[in-house]
Amino acid sequence: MAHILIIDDDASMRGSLSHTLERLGHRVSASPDGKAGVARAAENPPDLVITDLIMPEKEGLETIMELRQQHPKIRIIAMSGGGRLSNEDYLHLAKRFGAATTLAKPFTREELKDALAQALAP
Amino acid sequence: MIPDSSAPPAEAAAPIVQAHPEREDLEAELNRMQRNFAVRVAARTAALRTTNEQLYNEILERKKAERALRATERKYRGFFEHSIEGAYQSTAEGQYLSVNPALARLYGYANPAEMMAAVGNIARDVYVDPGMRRRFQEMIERDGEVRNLEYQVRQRGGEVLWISESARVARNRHGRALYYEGTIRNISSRKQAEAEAARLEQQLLQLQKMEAIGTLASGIAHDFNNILGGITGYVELVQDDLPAGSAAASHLHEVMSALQRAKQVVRQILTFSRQAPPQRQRIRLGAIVEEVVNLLHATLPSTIVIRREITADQDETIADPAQIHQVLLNLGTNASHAMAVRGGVLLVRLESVFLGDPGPAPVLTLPSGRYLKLTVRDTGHGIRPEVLRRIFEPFFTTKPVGEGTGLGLSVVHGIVKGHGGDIQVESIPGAGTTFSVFLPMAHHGPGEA
Repeated sequence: MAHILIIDDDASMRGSLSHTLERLGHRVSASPDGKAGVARAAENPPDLVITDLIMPEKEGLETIMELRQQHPKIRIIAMSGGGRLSNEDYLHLAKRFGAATTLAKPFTREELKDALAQALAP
Repeated sequence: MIPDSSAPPAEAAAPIVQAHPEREDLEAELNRMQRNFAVRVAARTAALRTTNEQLYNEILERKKAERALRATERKYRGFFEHSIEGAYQSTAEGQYLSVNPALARLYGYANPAEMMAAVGNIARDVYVDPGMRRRFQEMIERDGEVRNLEYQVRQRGGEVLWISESARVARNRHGRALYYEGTIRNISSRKQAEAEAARLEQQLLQLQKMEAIGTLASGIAHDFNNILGGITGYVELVQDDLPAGSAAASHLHEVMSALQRAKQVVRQILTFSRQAPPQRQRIRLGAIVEEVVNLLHATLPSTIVIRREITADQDETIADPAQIHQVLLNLGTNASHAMAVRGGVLLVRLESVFLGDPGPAPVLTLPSGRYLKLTVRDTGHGIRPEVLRRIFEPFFTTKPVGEGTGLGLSVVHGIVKGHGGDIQVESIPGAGTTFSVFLPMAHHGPGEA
């Protein structure tokens, strides 16, 4: 099973996702924004990061970029609830920044499992 | 008596005179009278001469005055005749007494005589709104004058002009109106410019409003998706802990269905606020029209007759097929709602049009070129103008709470705009509504026909 770091400013999203991932058998840590997430990953590098895109402090695309620079082998799933651009556009951008796959919020557990399978595939 | 011839003649005369003293008196009297008469005649003649002179002078004066009057008259007549502003005199009841050539020309007549003959009643034959004539009369009777009153008139050919009128009422000693007189200026071009400026300002305001709403909507959508994400995750966690088949599990199943619907609504908000181009591919619009018409056939009541007209020879456009499908289905469904009570005819037409530049392009926001025009017309209850103005705003709905989110047409608007197209709506309350969607026609690639 994998060590997964969740980065999201939404507490309920962070909470539900942590519990779900733990039930799926993963080891989970969580940070409320990109800055804290990057710091946490530096201390204890995870196998996979699931990060939100629109966040305070450090937004998602910059977070992905830094994580990829510091840990070239790290796997990333980008998730977003959309914003000024459509959700698809944000997520498409995230892929270009190096996210292995994406999840449009809100997503079901089945969709999460598919994304995990894709991101963690050897 | 016989005269004595022996008497010396010289002395003889006197005795004769002496012999007739009355005669002398008479002669003297006569002489006196003659002198008197001459004096009186002379006096009278002098008086007559003076009178004559006076009369002559008076005639001269009068002639001079008449000449001056005629000159003045000519001057003012010339002013009236050659004025570049229209001028008239009319009865209070609305018959022209005189009009000048400028007014005749302005109203489309060859000359004043032709206009006077044609216009029997100003309110009926000139005013576009006869009620305006009543207001004009109220003002002029109350204030004695009207300044720069702006209203519309109909020319001989039926064309409508905007004019500005200043007029006064001429009254007799008792205050009764004798006639009205006034001047009239053509202000159509100014009015047109004002209307154009107002329209542009309105369009700009609308654009700013839509943009502001778009920003707000995308913010709301983002927050909602996060909230829905949290709820979905926790509901699934609770479902894990509940025995399958329990009442609580089935209730949570309902919660999950509601969450799916909420997700759809948020997706619609995002579509509206979408700024980036949609996922596009070359599609045949005719095929989508067929598909949607078939779907409508299957779902609409038989009281609604669906007519389909596809006249476009080239019907390809670069578009997101799912979104165009949504546009058509939405317009078709709205049309059917408008005809739900009485039934009617739903027309779906696809044609190719060329929008000229600058031309009388009906869709001013589009550059010139070839477009596919998709018309969805119903014969339903129509839309009131105040509703029509706001019809593409998100969350604006006339449907009862729970029957519509008010997102449908704003989403349609967002999709069409996102495809580089435009949408127009016209409606006549009680007669029906027409939506026209314009989408850029796809260019033929090399080697294609």
